Amino acid sequence: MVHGWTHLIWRKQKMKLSNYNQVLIKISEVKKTTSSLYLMAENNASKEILIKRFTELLNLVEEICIQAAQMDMPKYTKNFRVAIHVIWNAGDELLKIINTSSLHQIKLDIIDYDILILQLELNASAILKYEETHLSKTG
Amino acid sequence: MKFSHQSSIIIEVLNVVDRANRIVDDIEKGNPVFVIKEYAQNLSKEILEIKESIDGLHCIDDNLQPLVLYIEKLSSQATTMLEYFKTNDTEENTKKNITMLANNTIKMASYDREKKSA
Repeated sequence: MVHGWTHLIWRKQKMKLSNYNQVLIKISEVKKTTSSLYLMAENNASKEILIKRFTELLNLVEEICIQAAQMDMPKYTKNFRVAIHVIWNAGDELLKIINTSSLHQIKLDIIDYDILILQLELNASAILKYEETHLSKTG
Repeated sequence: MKFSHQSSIIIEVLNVVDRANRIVDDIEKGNPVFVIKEYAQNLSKEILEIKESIDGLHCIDDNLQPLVLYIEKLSSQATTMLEYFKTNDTEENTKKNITMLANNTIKMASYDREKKSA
């Protein structure tokens, strides 16, 4: 019986890890797209194209938000969920001002956004590492 | 500035973070933009020097990887800022963008070691 419970907890932990992995994959997609947006801005892409790509990017962030909201997260990771929302809101704000900003400002804002996403990715990796260590101890 | 050891990078990172903190203080105190701009230019150059030194290292510990990734992004921001300073934008925008760089530099301190927990 004890073994059954332990196994159940272990399976739940494994599922949680797989969810984190999926989120991490999506975050790295967001990171790649943001980096390519920066390069596009550097190569003088039109604002229309930047806005179009940025909207696609925000859709991806929205998917991560939804997925994170559905995930079973321990209390210590609640900041992670908050961080994703911060990124979503920051992206939304950026999209609003991109049309009236100078190219230099767009580049600076995109790189700032890029740094925000990197922080999220680093935090997500740290969570995953922590969970994996925890799983190997309990498993 | 050339570093022979990874620990020297940590020391330099902390020095740069300290400088960024002082820039934020200067902005809050309402010091003139032309002075803050000069500090921010030096900060940008120092970030780029750290990046250059990291590139020169043969191997980097795994626990420093998050810091290395962060410095890579921050150095892109520093390069863009150095270009931006040539444009002589309004005082308000300049302050906003310098604050952005300084705040991102300050955040670098969180990655000087492997995070024990998220």
